[in-house]
Amino acid sequence: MPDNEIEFKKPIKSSDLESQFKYEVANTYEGRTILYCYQCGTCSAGCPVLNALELMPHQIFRMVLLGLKQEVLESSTIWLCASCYLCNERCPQGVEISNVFFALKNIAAQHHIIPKGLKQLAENLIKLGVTAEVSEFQMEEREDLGLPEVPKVDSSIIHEILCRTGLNKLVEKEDQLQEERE
Amino acid sequence: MRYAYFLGCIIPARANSYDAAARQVANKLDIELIPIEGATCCPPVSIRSLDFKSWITIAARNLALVEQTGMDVVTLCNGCYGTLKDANHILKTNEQLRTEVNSTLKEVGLKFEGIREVKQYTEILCSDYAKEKLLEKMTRKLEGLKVAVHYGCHLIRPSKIVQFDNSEAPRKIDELIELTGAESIQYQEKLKCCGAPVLAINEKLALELTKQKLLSAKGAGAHCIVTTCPFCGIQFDLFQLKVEELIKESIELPMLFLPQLIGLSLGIEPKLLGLELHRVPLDLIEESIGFQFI
Repeated sequence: MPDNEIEFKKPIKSSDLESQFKYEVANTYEGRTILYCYQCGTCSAGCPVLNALELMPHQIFRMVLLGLKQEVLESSTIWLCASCYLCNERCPQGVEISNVFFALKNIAAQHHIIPKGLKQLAENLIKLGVTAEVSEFQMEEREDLGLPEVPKVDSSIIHEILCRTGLNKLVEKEDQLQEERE
Repeated sequence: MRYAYFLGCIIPARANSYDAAARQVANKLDIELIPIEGATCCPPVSIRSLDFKSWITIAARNLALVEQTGMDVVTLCNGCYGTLKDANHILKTNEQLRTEVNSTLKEVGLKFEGIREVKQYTEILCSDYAKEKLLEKMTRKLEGLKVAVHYGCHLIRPSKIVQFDNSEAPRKIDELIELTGAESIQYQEKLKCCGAPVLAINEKLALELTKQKLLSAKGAGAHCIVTTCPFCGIQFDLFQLKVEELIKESIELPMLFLPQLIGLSLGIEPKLLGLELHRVPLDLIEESIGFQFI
């Protein structure tokens, strides 16, 4: 490669690292196995979405262990994980990789990074008690197939639970921030 | 044999043919499926991605409702299965989380006890009981039909929790399919994701994964792709049309939900199995078994 095509990345300074980040992840239920990663790259080798990722799974893990918190939370990689658990099965260190990705996404969401598509599903759950609503067309289809009506959902119960557990707050805060931005 | 029947959101909203076929087959095999009053969304991995506590508490509410029925629960959807099975496992083994979740459930008059098991419909179909019944009641051999089995990620992984089959070389559905006289073929992308989980984030990537699966199965000579998950099924049927548009090439590989295939071998009328609702033409299946659906 000719010299002028080499892009030098800025060196990482130790003063930029948030070394406590790995413990923030390890202290969650989903992220509790992160510290066992020894960078073999098996997770990346089998990942079905690898070609679409700006950072490979094992690189994300190294960055968490180093403390590159902002870079990890802002990376699109964590949201492209298909949660297929192939990496979980194969990790020789028993790192529950898909679960650690859940932990990272949860932390990103607390920092108000929530992809639109997922926000919509959360809003559905909060308002309707389901993530996908049954349309009239589908109800007719069910009738034609001789299928019984779909069990009724009392969405107020789901709403009450989600107010207590925190999903409502996440979505409301996101709405607020969006309004401010506009 | 009776089970509490967990329908979930996506099946009544997008994949009624799966529900229809599952009930028809259960009926033939003398398996009773009882609806769960008040059950809601499982909820899916997309909610787990945003907030673990919300995910596990809603799942625990569903499990608490299951416990009230006095039966084990069976799901059709691999996603619901993954959620309920994992949440049940976590809450049974982690006292601190169980206490925390139960303090929230108390406010809505429920309690998770951890006394029930979560099963996927396929597990019941693959049981010795169902296989015996199936052999007894089978009226049509599906000889000549080449099937590409797609297990779907959450039916086989994480294997230490779901414990359905060997996660690198699963055989249970293949064996069931061979029981009907059809041939289960091997194809390169058999264990890969269908693409559905990233659909809400990146449609292009989702379609790329779907394309890889479909082309791999078709290239290996399959007449159809068979799955046990509504998300995967929608991906292979409805979204196959989008993939075709994208690659400007026809694939025309029909998708069947596993109970639809079993239903055909049991001689159940195609209309009752919801076959008319599929988007991709079923010609390849009809030709290979020599039976017209309509």
